[in-house]
Amino acid sequence: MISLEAELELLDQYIALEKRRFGDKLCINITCPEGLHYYSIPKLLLQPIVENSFKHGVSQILGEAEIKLIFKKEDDRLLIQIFNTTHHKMDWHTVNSKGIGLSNTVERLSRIYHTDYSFQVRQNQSQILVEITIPLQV
Amino acid sequence: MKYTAVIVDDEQDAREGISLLLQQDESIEVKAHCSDGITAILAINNHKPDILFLDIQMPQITGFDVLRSVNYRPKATIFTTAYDEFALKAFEVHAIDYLLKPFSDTRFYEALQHAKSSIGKDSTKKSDTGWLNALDQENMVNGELIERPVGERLAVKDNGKIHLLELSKIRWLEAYDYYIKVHLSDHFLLVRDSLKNMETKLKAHGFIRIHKSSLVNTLFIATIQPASPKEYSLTLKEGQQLKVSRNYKAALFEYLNMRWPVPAFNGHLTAK
Repeated sequence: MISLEAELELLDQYIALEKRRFGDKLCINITCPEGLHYYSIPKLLLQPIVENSFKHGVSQILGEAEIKLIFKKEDDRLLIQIFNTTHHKMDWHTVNSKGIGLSNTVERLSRIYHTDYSFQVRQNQSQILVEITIPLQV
Repeated sequence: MKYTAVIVDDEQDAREGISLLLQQDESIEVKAHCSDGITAILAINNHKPDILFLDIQMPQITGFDVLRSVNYRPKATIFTTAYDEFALKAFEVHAIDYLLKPFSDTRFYEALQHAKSSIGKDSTKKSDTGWLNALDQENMVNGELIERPVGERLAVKDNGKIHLLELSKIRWLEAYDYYIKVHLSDHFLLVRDSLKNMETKLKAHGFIRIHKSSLVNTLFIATIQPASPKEYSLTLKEGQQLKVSRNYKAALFEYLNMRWPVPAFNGHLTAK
């Protein structure tokens, strides 16, 4: 486990690399209220998801691409939302996804939190949203 | 001898890297840096470069699509890509060289030298007929709309070729099963998309829906006349008659009152 603050620092380093590739068309936004920084989350939980945003979102989009990370406290839970814009004709589905990024993430969550977590992926024409809730733990 | 060059790569660092390497060679003048296929097509047509550095994997429009769509063929094309799977095809289209990223400076200058010397030789003599055929052997999908219109253009991929249609040349669009017919003055292109999507895209550019299955460029409207108690009939310049259904009638009149392109209007508008 790692503090959210430290996880975000790690993520920043990764994003800095991707910015060198796509900086001119990338718009990235991270919203995390001050009070949440010291809560714990599994180490590198966000990394594969943000990697997916680059791989399937940013690098496939002609013109500007957006990635948004939002952290919220909801009662005693931590809500994490990761949005990215996508190309609307992209045929993406968890069922036929061959990657291990997301399945690995779910596997880790269930080992750590058993059934006390949620993980959802939603997609509309232009956006993919990954939403995770885990218990707030220091 | 001086050579002009255009650099195409969707990654900023890659463009800057090539640009830096080229700065060491005074005989090269870089005319444009392009970050996607559409700007690449426009830049190549515009600058007619001697040497083209072309990335292959780019969003929606690949390097091969670019070559297929330009109306000027650079004298020497050097592909740059992180993937080796396209090498064979690159040489089928007579690439001068194929730089696999990451490449060394030495390797880059070798490719550049190769390009320069091949231009030096009689480049007109080289058989240039094969390359288009090689591109055309690929499996082609029918027309597809490229998501981002560039300025006053609509980018449509048809038979692997990117058409940058000037909006002012599109007369009207017609729903056609799962496709749309984009009507130009003497022909149409078939595009796999929905009219609704097109309407959203083109609304701000003077296009208006007049029927469940038609979207019309207001610049081309000649006359509007009542056709039945509920419907109107709209005539485009140079003939074509289209129906205005009652569902879209109100919106059409409202639009025309607000933004009627007066100089283009030479018909008679008979509103109720």
